Formats: sequence, C-alpha cells, structure tokens
Amino acid sequence: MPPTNGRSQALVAFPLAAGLASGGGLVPVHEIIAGDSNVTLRAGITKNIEISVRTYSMDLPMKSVIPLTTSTFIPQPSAATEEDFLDVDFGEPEPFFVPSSWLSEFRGYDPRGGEKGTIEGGLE
Amino acid sequence: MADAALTSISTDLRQGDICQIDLFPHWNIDTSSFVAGMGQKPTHVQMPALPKVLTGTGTTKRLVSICSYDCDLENPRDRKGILIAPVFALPKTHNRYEMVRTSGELRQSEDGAYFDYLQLFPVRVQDLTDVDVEMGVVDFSAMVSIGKAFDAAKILSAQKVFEIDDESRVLFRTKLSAFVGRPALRSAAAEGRNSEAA
Repeated sequence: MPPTNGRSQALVAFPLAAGLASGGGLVPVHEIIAGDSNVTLRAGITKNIEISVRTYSMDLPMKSVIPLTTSTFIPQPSAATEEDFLDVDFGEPEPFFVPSSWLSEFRGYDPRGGEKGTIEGGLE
Repeated sequence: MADAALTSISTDLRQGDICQIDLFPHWNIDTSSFVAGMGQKPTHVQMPALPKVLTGTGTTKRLVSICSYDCDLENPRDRKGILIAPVFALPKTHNRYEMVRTSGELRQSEDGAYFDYLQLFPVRVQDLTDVDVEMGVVDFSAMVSIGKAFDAAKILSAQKVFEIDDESRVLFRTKLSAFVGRPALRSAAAEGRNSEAA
C-alpha cells in the first residue's frame, strides 16, 4: 500500500499517475511530498517523470483518476543549452516545383488592400 | 530579398508575425497521455513541449510564427483557434546554411520555379533571441492551432516581437500555401519532378 501522509500528497500523486496511465490499472506512482524543495518537474513530461523521492506501484482504476489541471503543476521549460538550440537537422532540400498559373494568383495580392508585395523579388 | 526583414512593429496581428508563447505543444502520439475525470472517459490530452524551439530575448518563452491568414486574425468569429508554427535556429555552421537561408525565395530552373525545403521559411532572429544566431526558420510541419481564437489572438498580439515586410509576407503566404496545398503541375513529366517532395 502506498504511504498516506496526508491530503496534499494524494492530490499531487494522483494527477501525475493520471498522466501516466490513461486506462488505469497497475501504474507507477511517483510520490511527492508537498513543499519538498527537491521536487522538480521538467518540460515534456510524459512517461519519464523525474522527481525526487520514491516510486511504487498501485492499482489505479480509471474512476479514481483525477483530472490533471494546470493549477496542479506547471511544466517548466527544460534548461536547454546553446548547443541544444543549434543542434538542428532540416533533412534534404527536396525541391518542389510550382505551376506558374498557381503562382500568378499570389502576385501582388494583399488581403488587406495595403501596399502590395511582389513575388518577383524571389524570381531573379 | 535575402531574408525576412524587420519593419516597424504594429499592434495588429498579421500572418508571418513572430510572437512569444510559454511553450510550443507537440502532440507526440507515442508519449502524449489522455486524462480523465472521475468516472469519465478521457477528455484532456497531456502534450509535451516541442524541444529546441528558440527562446526569446531575456525570457524562456518560445518564438512562434503566425500562420493564420490575416482575415482570420482580424475577425476570428467562428474560428476554433490561431495557427502558429515554431521557430528554430539556423546556425551558420549548418552544412546547408545558405540554401536554407534563401529557401523563402522561389528558385528558377529549366524545369520551372521551385521551392527548396518546402516546410521551412527563413526569418532574421538576431535581435529576438539570446542564442547566438542571425537566422532562424519557421517550420510549417509542426504547425498547431491554439485557442480560443479571440483570446489567443489577443495574447499573441501582446507578445508580438517581429513583423516581416510586405514582400516577405507574400513569399511567406506563397510557400505556406504550397506546403499545405501542394499545387499540382499539369503534365505527367512535371508531376514526376515533385514525386519526392509530395
């Protein structure tokens, strides 16, 4: 049986479990002690939540799942480094040809009727 | 035109504008979970944030580009949301830097006009991020809708940091339309040229 140290713990643990197992059943529950300064949540929280204390399994029927709300916890952006941002892969250029008749529909068109742009600038 | 140029920033929200949002959602079908209420079927989707989306200057907010058309932004009445796409860095060290940097323009060949990197549109981000890059790219392939439309437009307008000029806006709209619509060439031979990208 999971420890029951008070209401605050249950309120946190159950929504996390809900995010882990939409169908209920035997799921890992990550116990968080409210107010614990070691508790950290990272962006992209999915099935690999990294939090401080202990993990156990419990049978969590669907009807026990409590909605996950933004007020329960707010994922914090991960501490991406400069190298993370610069490590990009755009794949191959894969040229895509467009028909001239289709292009002409966009030439000089401005939906707000303001100063007209031109596509010729890109056709040098 | 080499890349989207900075113009004066108006408070109006327009297609191609660069704005900031807290995180960019990515519905990863393998890892996103569904969440249910007491005794109910799942009603919510828990989505991770898309990694590597550029952060704004002095903030952890992420740079996004407005993809909805101007008329939908001006009058979102029956729209469910506003279309946005993430902005990624284009480092000078990238092995195809120049090709990606100029990929907003149509190129010409004997076979006709074509786009490279149909899913990307380059924008100048030098003054918009603390990351050491001059250029970034909007990635249409990660486009999402955020709502509700009226509220989202209001929030995005308040977080607008960049506005492309009219010439760039035409190129942006043209490339976005080509990415989404895949306009067909008329001859079979011409169709064959697009077989890879389509």
